[in-house]
Amino acid sequence: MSPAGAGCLPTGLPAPSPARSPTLIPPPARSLYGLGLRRPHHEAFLTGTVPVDFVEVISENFMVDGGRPAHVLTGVRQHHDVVLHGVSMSLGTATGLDNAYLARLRRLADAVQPLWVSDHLAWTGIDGVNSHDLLPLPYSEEALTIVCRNIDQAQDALGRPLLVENPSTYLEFHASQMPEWEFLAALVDRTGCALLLDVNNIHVSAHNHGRDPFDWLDGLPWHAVRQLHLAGPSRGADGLLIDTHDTPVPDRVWDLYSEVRKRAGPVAVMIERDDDIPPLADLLTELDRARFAEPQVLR
Amino acid sequence: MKSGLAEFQRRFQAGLIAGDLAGVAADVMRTPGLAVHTHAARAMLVDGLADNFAKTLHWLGGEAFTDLALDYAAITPSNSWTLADYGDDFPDYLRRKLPDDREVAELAALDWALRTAFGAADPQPAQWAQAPGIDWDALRLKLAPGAALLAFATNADAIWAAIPDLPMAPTAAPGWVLVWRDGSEPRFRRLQRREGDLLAAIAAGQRFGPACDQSGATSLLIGGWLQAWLNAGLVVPRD
Repeated sequence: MSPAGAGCLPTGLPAPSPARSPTLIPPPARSLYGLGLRRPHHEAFLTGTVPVDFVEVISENFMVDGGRPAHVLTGVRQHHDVVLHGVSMSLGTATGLDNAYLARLRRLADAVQPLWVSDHLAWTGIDGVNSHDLLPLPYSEEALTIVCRNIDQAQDALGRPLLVENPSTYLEFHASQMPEWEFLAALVDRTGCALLLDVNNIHVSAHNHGRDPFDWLDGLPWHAVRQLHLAGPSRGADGLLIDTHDTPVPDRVWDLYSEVRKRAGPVAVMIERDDDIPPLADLLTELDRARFAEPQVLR
Repeated sequence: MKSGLAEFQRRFQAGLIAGDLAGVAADVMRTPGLAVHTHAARAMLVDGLADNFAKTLHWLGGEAFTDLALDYAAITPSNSWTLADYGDDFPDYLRRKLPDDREVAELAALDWALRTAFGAADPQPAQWAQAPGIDWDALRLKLAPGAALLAFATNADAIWAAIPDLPMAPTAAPGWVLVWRDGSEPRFRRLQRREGDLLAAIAAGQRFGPACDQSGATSLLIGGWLQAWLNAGLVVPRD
């Protein structure tokens, strides 16, 4: 990855702090609207004509030494602000984070100069194994201490604050001592991280656990929310909703999104589609719907 | 979860690898969600193999490939942050499982080498070779990152190129197949026997001069091969 020329790059936010900030990453001056960079749409994004404010890339797909992935990201970065979204940091692993992973991610972040770096409130493995699944945590005091320590480790290693995403969950634990929104609020308070709020994940988790999604909306620390994900789930066995990102954003998620926009300040909003990827025009239509919701709620 | 999060996570992970999370059922409020994770963890690995070994999948067919991939995944956890790294010894696994169908493992080896070349460091112009005073006789070279030399017993390279358009039967065709990256495009070609033998000797660490002597090839021929290797950034000096 050749370093991008910072002087000619689009910027939506102040440059990230070189060291872990005790204060939250500032919100964007206005809400931003973006899409994920997925393989079928690489060529379109390389033209610089896709009408988005930012592009989200899966960090691990670009933590490579060279070749087409690196060239694509360098080319896309010439036209668009980028956010890095990871799936393998494993913030919930009890034994700490992989320093080699963090160092490699730091190299990518330093080259790309993203608006921010995000990953999930989850663990993916322990003792060097990666399940490549976002595994759930008990929301216990012990887990809170561990995740805070891991976020500190990540923010120190990356030299920039982190956004932490609420997960889709299919399990609740007897060991949990607080609801998810309290756990997330405590992470913000103790580490200075911000939040990536996945609206679909609230829909999925609330459905799977028989809860009211407004419990999340009433309990989340809205001052820390910097990005929103909108996606569609699938229906699995036993009536569970599965976070598959392979369907259009459903009405229930749009309804929740309207409520979210009443509570959140300026944020970066994106449509997250990872499978059965439709033509770019379809995703842009969904993104327009997300845009359209903003003036309604701000009037 | 009385003994702590690390112990719980090791127990959960062992269940995921075994495909049975009954060992953590007492820790959760309701158990149907356990199946979501046992399915997802295995499906992620199988999908990763399908992506990394696309031509092998096509050759074997979905059902046979999935059976083999599930067996492999059950004994081979991922140790990387990316599924793009998953399956480095899948070709060896296929060689052991299908000893009478050698083209399968060779197709997989070619899939893997091309996949590795895809994200390897960009090939560099061989400016080092222009430096004066190089002792070529004593020089030790190695393959550049992303380049690979595969020893084949079959025509798996021709099968790979024919998939999915042309049916082609496996036949014995011993020789060397070279994989490298041309710009951003991974490529491969079958080498002439003597060129392959020489490049294999060099890649194994033999000094350039003795390796050339043993190859039996003329200086003119070797000069042509070397020029092509250097132009493609295929070989670099050993440290």
